[in-house]
Amino acid sequence: MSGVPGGGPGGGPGGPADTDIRGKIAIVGVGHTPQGELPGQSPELNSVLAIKEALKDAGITRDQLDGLITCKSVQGTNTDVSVGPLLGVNPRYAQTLDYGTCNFSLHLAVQAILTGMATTVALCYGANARSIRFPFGASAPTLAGASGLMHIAGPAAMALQRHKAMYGTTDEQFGWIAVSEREWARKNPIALFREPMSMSQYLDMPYMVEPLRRADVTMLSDGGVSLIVTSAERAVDYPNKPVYILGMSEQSGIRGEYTPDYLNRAFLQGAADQIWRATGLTPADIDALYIQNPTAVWVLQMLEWYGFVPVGEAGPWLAEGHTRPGGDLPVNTNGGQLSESYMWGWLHLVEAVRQLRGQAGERQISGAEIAMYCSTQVWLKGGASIISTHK
Amino acid sequence: MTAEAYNKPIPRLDDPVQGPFWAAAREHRLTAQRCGDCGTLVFPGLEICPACWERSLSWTDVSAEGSIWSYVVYHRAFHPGFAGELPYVVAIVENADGVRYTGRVIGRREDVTVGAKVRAVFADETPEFTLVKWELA
Repeated sequence: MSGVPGGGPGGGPGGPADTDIRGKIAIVGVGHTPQGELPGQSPELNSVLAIKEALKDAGITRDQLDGLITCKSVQGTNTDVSVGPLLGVNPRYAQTLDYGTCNFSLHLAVQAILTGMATTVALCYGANARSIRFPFGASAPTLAGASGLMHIAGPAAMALQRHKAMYGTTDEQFGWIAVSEREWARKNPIALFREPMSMSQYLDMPYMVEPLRRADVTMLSDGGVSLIVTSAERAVDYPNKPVYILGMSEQSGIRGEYTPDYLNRAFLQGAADQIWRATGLTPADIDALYIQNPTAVWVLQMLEWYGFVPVGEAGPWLAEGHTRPGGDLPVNTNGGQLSESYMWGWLHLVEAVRQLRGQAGERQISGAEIAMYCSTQVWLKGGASIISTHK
Repeated sequence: MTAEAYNKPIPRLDDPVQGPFWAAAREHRLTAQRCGDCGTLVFPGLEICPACWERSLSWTDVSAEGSIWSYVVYHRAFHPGFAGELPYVVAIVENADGVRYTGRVIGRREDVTVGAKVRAVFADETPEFTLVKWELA
């Protein structure tokens, strides 16, 4: 059995049955808490504090929400029913995603609104993994865990080592992901890691899980993030420029390690094919790219699978500086999860909205009109969204 | 070494699905499940053959020879039990039958490469628990 999806009786996935969702739904509010350590604040509190900020940004009150989609925190809390008591209202529609990364959360909100289940939905994420010292690196009672393969850095480093062996990718080429994100983070007041980091400083760092260094891996953070999503008809009445969803796609790899070469995450090709076909856009149309990245390996892989560079060629391409400030494809202009904060990618979409609205301050990309956000639930699921201030 | 002194993670040796793998390891045999209907090899163990959906999987001996698909070197211990072993190498090994195993690699660090030939060895860690490791061939 291959890891590539098969089609149902009605044709392959994403075939002629595609429904055009372009410009029908918009993001009208974004908000978040401070990042870092927020001792004594639960994931649910951080969610609600973020929703409060997002509602303020959208210029509406919680009574105008009829949908809530929460994303479980890294430690498994923050369900809709645990956020509810603090929310203080009973929205018509409430759901929880196990691993929203904001992308899957946004997709569910689009589906809920298009099908009439809700009209205005708050998406939220909240975590307190840093202040409770959540054991992020804990291992499963398996052969792999007993052998010492633990922490997300382990399988990520495994994928990178394979990439290096197959394509000749070097430490320095790969290092441009972390160095570029740090260059962007230096322009972002909410980023947690803003001290300069040159390539030689990067290369001087010891390996953590070779071939990954500390700077290639995210650090746990506390915080909350929220977005407000509504229909395009309603969006025009909101104070900020609406940011429309032009297209979205997902592809699962839920067979996990039973998919051959699963760590390479070739299944992402399915999500890529779907979104380019559905939108009629190409990688060259993207002005700003956001890639959720618990490790820098995710950026390397998604640049390739989404077609920004041919598979195997991301290394030399990164070294050309395309993703850095001033480059022709700015990537993770918030500093990403390596330098801004670890919010499971939620702040990537907040940043994309701010860039498109022209609210990104010192790191504003001039003329940014179309942004893309790609994320994964490790090697189990991938998704992408393309958004724009134009329908 | 006693079980009390072993302070690294131990799998559930009596797990209803994976248990036979550990029992075989105790006897220094490398195993995987084979489907009695379609012949598919499966590891880690499952309750149904994912290829043909027959419930015909049974544990069988497989080749102890393999090669490294990829590997990593831990320079930091995420579990205190591994602190004294740094740096240590963990690889995904594909055996000659095409089954993938994650495991520790024993041998000179400089000789560990993607594609390197390895052979399964069996480390009796406690009186009950034997860990499959891979030695550079």
